[in-house]
Amino acid sequence: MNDKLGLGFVATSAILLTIMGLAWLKNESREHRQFQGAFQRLSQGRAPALGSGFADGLDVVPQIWLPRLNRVDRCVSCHLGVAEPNFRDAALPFSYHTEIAHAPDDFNRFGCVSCHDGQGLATTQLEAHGKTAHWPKPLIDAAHIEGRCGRCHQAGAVPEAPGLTRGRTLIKQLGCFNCHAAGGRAEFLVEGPPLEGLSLKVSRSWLHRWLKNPKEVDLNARMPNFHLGSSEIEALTEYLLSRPPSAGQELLIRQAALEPDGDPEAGARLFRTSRCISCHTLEGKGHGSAPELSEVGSKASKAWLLAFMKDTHAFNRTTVMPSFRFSSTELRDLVTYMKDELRDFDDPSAADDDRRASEPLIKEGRHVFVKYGCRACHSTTNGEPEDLGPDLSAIGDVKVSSLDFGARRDLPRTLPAWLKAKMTEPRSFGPGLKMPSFVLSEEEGTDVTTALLSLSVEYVPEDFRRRDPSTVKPAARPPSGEVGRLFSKYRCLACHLIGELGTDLSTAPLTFEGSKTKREWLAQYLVLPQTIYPLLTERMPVLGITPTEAQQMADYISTVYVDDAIPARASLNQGRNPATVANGARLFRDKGCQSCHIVGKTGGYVGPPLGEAGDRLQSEWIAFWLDNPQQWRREARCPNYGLSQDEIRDLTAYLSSQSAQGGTRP
Amino acid sequence: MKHSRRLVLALVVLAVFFFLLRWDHYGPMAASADRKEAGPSYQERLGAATYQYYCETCHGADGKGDGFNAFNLDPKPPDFSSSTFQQMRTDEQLAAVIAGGGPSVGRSAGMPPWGQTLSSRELRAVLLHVRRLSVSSAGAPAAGSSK
Repeated sequence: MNDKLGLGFVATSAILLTIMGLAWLKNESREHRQFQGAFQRLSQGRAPALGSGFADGLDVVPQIWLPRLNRVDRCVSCHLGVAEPNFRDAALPFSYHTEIAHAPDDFNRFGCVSCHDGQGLATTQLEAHGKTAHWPKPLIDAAHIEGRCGRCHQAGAVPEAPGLTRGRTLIKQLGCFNCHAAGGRAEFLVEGPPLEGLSLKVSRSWLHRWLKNPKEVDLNARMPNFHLGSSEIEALTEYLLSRPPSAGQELLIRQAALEPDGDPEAGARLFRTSRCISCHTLEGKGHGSAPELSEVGSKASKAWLLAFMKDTHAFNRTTVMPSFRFSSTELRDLVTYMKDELRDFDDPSAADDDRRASEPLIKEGRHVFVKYGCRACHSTTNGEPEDLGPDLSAIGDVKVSSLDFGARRDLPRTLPAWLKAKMTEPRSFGPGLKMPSFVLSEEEGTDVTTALLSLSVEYVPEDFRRRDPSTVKPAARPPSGEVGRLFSKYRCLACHLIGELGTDLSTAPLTFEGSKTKREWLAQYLVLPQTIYPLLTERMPVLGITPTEAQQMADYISTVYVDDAIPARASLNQGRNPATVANGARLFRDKGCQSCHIVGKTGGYVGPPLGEAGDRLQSEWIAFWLDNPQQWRREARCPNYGLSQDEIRDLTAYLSSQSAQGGTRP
Repeated sequence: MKHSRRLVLALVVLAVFFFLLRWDHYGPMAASADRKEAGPSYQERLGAATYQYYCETCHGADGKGDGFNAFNLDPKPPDFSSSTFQQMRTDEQLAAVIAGGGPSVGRSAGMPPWGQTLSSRELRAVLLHVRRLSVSSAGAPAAGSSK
């Protein structure tokens, strides 16, 4: 009996001991301990540089506590070298964090998960990286990580995240938010042309080809491909052609149809000198924000072209095309040139255009029009966007488990992969989907996905939110009154920025133009703009602004759009004498300014020629620029030479003396 | 001794059980190859973008000194893709000319100083990009690049 008891005691003791031993062993062999052991061995040779005492006594789970975000990130219990430049060349997981704007300085503000996703509390690699079942946000891959920059940098360009910036620009160009709701949507809407009276503009066969695949007809086409079936195309064509023009349009077009032909050669000259390719393209050459024109003569009827260009804004209230004020003779020449030369010589142009479609077909076409949500972009009546697609305000927060991968069994089960496939091959998920194809390259797909991932409604403390300084433009008033009408007539804001208004097609924002250029120069430039950057394709068009209008606009710009940060320096003009001018000329040569600027007969083509700088630029502005070009425009390529005040004075004196009236002037 | 044999067996089974239970999680340093497949690093992208924006007009996309503005320069920009060039210059020399411009090292003023325009991070990224221009064209790192 005693024997048995004794044996039982020994046995249970042994089992207890074993279990305790195993428990100790298990604790010792936990994954992060192994990493920490390896790190300690690794840091032997580097120990002196380690101030933080990492190497001794690592028996803890280091963590970053972020009370404001209500989060704890334990990533640093394995990634032990992230903040140690000494570990720049170490292998993962010990390597130093790649140097970016926030690393390593801001780890204690943002932690790791804010940018990388994953499960911050976990202490094993698999769980921490979130690659386990049901963790909503696994570690985000490097290709899309800039999307997380967008959690705080919630709008506009982020210079340090070029992919995010490109993606945001693309979202705007593609018009994603015409169909999908999202925060700040109003800034992103695009507007397609109105569709009334199409039968007076395009032929049936052209419309067919366009609806089949817009990019096939015009590479600049912004309308995506809806992959319509041939019967749908047939019906939609008839419906669109059946929509009557407005009474005013019809009258203008009927009148224009009676105009005789003009001189195509004069038209060709006018086409070139008007710089149409600042927006349009001709055989691919040009800016490409407006339609390709090499076949415009086969696309649009003569009467429509005449009527449209005669008064663009009466015809289409929302077009960004400026009013060019062509005379009737010029218009006839221009349109005759387009009809004669700018056409598709293989066009099977059908003489079948008089065919009248049946009522049921038109009705079916209307159904197609509604089904695919054409009104989202071609809304001719009300400007309110429609929610045709799902809301995207929080698309970056979506859980993988709630995504429908449909037929795409080949995709990795991650949000970025799903989004990218939705962007590049939206119809591949299954039948019955309506989202059209935007023709995107691999990189564009990645960029748009990155930008979409930044759309989040997760809590971000107010003081973490950032708008990039270069996008925080001063709130400028749009011009009003008489000058406001002129700005609208010539669509200045279609190319120029005034504060946050307008677009940046032009390299010259008007926000502070009045502080930069001289009033007299501006007035004559508006009448006959000569090229400032000879390399640019997009040049200021010759808009036919009258001298009176130009003077009004120049006066307004010089008075209103000025930067008070530019100090008035009376000394600059007093300081101009032959000695300072000569010294400025020497500085211009010694500093190597002619590498980029032309003065006289020599110089480079990177910056504007400065042979007439004195006619064009105000001395105060020249001095301000020379002091630090980036304080005027952050993205200026002209390097900051760190010039002394005397050097600035002399260079300004030299540049101000450069005039078209023959070199140096007193 | 039948008992003790059973006991030993039980202990062995227990031990194996405990280890197997979570051994997959202890996977030794199976550390991730996660990052390598992800393409260029942040610094590489920053260097490429900075080079493209500020330098390419003269030095050319491949660093051969054939940018569109190079025709106007005398002397011409050097050929970064040549391994001779890469070996002749140390990182310190290159850094000095990028930050201080040609005149600061007794060379042509055609090369302007970027030290007050670019951040130290951008300057370093551009330097590394210039080094890579020879790596990518020669297929192997230039000897001078490891300094």
